[in-house]
Amino acid sequence: MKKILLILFISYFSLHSFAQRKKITASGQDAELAYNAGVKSFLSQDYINAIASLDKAVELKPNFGKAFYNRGVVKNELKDYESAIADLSVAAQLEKNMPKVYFARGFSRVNINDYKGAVQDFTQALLQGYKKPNAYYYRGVAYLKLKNYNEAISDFNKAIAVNSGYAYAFHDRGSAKRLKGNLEGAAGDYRKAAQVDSQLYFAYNNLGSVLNELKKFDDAVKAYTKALSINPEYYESYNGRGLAKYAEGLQILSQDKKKEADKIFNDAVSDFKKAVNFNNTYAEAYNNMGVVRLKLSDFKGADEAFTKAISINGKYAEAYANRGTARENLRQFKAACNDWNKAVELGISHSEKYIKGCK
Amino acid sequence: MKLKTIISLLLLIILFQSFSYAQKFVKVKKSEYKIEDEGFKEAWKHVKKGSHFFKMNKKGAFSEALNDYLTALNYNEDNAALNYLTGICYLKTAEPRKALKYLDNAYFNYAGVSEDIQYWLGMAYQYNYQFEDAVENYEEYRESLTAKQYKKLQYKINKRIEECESGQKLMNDSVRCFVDNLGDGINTKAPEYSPVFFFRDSILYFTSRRENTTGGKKNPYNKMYYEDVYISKYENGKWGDAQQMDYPVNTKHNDAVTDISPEGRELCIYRGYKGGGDLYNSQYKGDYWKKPGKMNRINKGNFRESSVSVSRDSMVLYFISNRKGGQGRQDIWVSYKTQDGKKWQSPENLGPVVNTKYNEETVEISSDGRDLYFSSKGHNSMGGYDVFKTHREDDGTWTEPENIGYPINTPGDDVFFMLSPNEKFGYYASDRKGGYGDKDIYEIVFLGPEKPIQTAKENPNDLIAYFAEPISEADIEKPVNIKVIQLSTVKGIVTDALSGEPVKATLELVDNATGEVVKVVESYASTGAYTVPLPPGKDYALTAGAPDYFFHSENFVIADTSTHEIIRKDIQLQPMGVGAKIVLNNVFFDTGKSTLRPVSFPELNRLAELLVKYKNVRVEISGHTDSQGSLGLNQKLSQRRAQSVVDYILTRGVNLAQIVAVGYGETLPRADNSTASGRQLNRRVEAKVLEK
Repeated sequence: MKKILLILFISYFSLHSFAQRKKITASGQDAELAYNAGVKSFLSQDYINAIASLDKAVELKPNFGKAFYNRGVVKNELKDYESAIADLSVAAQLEKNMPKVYFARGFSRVNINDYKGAVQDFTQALLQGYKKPNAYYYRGVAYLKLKNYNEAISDFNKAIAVNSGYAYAFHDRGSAKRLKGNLEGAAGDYRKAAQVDSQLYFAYNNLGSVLNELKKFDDAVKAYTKALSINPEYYESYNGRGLAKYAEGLQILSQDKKKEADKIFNDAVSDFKKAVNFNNTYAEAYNNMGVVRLKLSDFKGADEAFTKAISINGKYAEAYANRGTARENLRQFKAACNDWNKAVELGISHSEKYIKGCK
Repeated sequence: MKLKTIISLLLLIILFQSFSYAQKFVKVKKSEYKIEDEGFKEAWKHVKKGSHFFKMNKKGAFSEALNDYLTALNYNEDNAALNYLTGICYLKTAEPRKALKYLDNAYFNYAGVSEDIQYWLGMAYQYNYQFEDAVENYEEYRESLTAKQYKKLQYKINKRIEECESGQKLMNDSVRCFVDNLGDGINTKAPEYSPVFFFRDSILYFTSRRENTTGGKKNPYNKMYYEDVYISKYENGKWGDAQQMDYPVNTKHNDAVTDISPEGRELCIYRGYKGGGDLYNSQYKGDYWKKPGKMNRINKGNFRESSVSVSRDSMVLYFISNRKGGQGRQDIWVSYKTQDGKKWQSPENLGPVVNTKYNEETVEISSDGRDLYFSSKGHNSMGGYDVFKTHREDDGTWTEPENIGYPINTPGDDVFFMLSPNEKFGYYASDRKGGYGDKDIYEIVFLGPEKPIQTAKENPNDLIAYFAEPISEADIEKPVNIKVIQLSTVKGIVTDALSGEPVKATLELVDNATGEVVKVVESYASTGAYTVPLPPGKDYALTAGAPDYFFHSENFVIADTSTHEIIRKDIQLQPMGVGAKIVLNNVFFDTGKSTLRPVSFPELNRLAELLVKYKNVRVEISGHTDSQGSLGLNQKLSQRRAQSVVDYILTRGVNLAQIVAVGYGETLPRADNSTASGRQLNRRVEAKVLEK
């Protein structure tokens, strides 16, 4: 009996619940439905369908501010920044009190190098009460690009004040300091960034670069090596490490320790080789390889390296000037003169001195 | 002899000795040399022959002595005296660097082989660029001298030490250049020097002392073949095999080329025989060189004039001479042409800034007439002759000569320097290492100061974290709320009105406002149950029908605010039998009138369809009212209303015989007239089957 009652109860409840759960969408909400479909697609990272849905939403409801905003955000993800700016501008008109619109548009502008416009947008977002620290961060980036280093540092400070673990803000503050000539300060910030996020390989890379400038070559090499341990294909660090070794080699050479210097120069060449191994269009690394080979008196090898750099970048003035030096040492005087003439043409003024002997 | 003369003579001897260091002849003792019988006799012959040549004290003779001594060393390589003599020979000939091995060996085997061994060792080290060891030996030698010897030799030894110090400095600040031998078209094991270029036609004149010298003889002064002038042309990337010039340029004595005019039509030649020598010039006439004539205004008596360089405008002539009135021995002299350009004026010494108490040799004026290149054993030479450069200032004075540097200059003799017109190349003669033998002619390529080499700057984008590793900053706006309608449910059971058995019926729900059929469902045959979810806010007409049954109709409203309402509508269907009757619940009239409202038509259409289908069926359409109003009026109204219904049905193709209209007024109530709901129920139209 109890079983029967239970079955009846469950059946009734289910029926009732089923009946209760029966719903249908009220009519006249197609735009909203499309908008929600767009959001759902975005969250599934199906950006194409997200755009399609949001297109429908704004077509059905041309004053749908949020749809314009979301579409702008999706376009940012798709790196269609100009179009994103158009959408976000409409959203800004339609949604008068939505600071994140200005943030998103500022972000788009950073990506198309419109740094002045970006600063304005981030400022507007903040004035409207935008709370997240990334507005300060990206405004700092824009200031950095505009070479307003003090403003950049101020913004990075603010970002860090909101989020004490904002690794990017530490890192870029370090870069701003570096560009101001405060190398020790820069090194400190790069270290801090790496401390906050141990996977920031480029922080280690830039730390290496600063340490190199500070002539702390051993530490520089260690920093680059650390960057490479995180990202073994980061060819920039191979190049940087090569440069640190080259600088160290020059220092040792000045102490008349040629054998020791040559060993380090050879290590530097190995690093440049690794750099171009990962990026065979890395003209700078080829140039640097050539420079070190010149120091090793491997003029043929240097010539080859500079030639490769030039084949990648036909207007690489420094490579032409350097190759002239290599060719002179190979007794190819005419070829050397041609290269120096080309270097002068491309703006290397010191090469003018050498072409005097070309007549 | 007057005392003054004796003193002058003595001074001359001292001075001469201070400017030359004569090697001592050390006798090889037979007892020390002989080590075994076999080979001794032949070897000893070479010792003696070598010594014979050695004692001649002439460059060419030292070469001869060297050959014999080397052969003698094959028998006994450790004899100190023999090693010493061999070393000295090397120092006196074209390969002074090789002396070190033998002098070292001599010193090692017997440090006392000669009291001057350390001096020569010093020189040997110096030739090998081992300046520290050279200085050490010079200083030790100097320490070993007696006061008298020191007085005589100090200048020489100190000079050597100074040369070593110069050598160290010059090597630490070397000139960037290539120094290349001109090759075997020009150079041989014999000495080649004095290169004179006629650049326009890529022709090189030079001097050499070769076995095929004109006349085939050796100069008794130095036991070397007489000098001759040679010529070579640059073709196909190299200097062709040099050809000896003919008479009258070359004679059976010394003939050395020293200069050529800019047009290449006048050759300046040095001719010497017995230690003196003069300058000559020869004109080129079409296809031959005329017999050289002496440069009378330049040459002087029995003095030696060698090496001449004429300015490009042919107005100034520089030359080397050992005439009196100089700073010491060979000096550089200058002569200017008269205004009319026809005669050379009396030469002047170039002065103590340029000339030294040591020998100056070979001279070359630059094409702009402002720089003078010459060789000297003085100034800061690193040994032997070094090439120097001096510059003529606007006021006519000459700057302090500057050593043109290592690796051009060596501890040996570096002479006959000249520059190409574009100053990129230089040429000179040197007994440097790597030649074919003795002096060779070399080309110098000046590389200028070290060129800065530039490494590439790092990628600036990596200074910004976002650009190094972009991240998403997407902050998507949340979904919006969608209005949903909570459905209500109409459910019930359809049964046979008489038997109570379940009936499988078709139920139709119509939106009375629009006339649109909202849902059509069927009840289950087994249970008669049906369920229909319906949105709220509508006035519905529910009609249920099954074959052989009168249809059932009713209407109900689900309020707008209704949520999840369950509306129970059990339906009893009247079988289509006589007496079966239904209330036409969805037939409506305007108030107090008999005009049918259009909303009634669907219900009446169903009745019409039924009658069309069942032609045997005859029905009564009856009108009923509530009890309000008069009996008579109610009667009439109900009649009119019934008739309106019949009239409409007839328009739907129903036979007139099948239908009749009757008005019952208030006489047949079905509910209590005292209540509003009762009165509503009483106000009705019914259809009753009369016949089937």
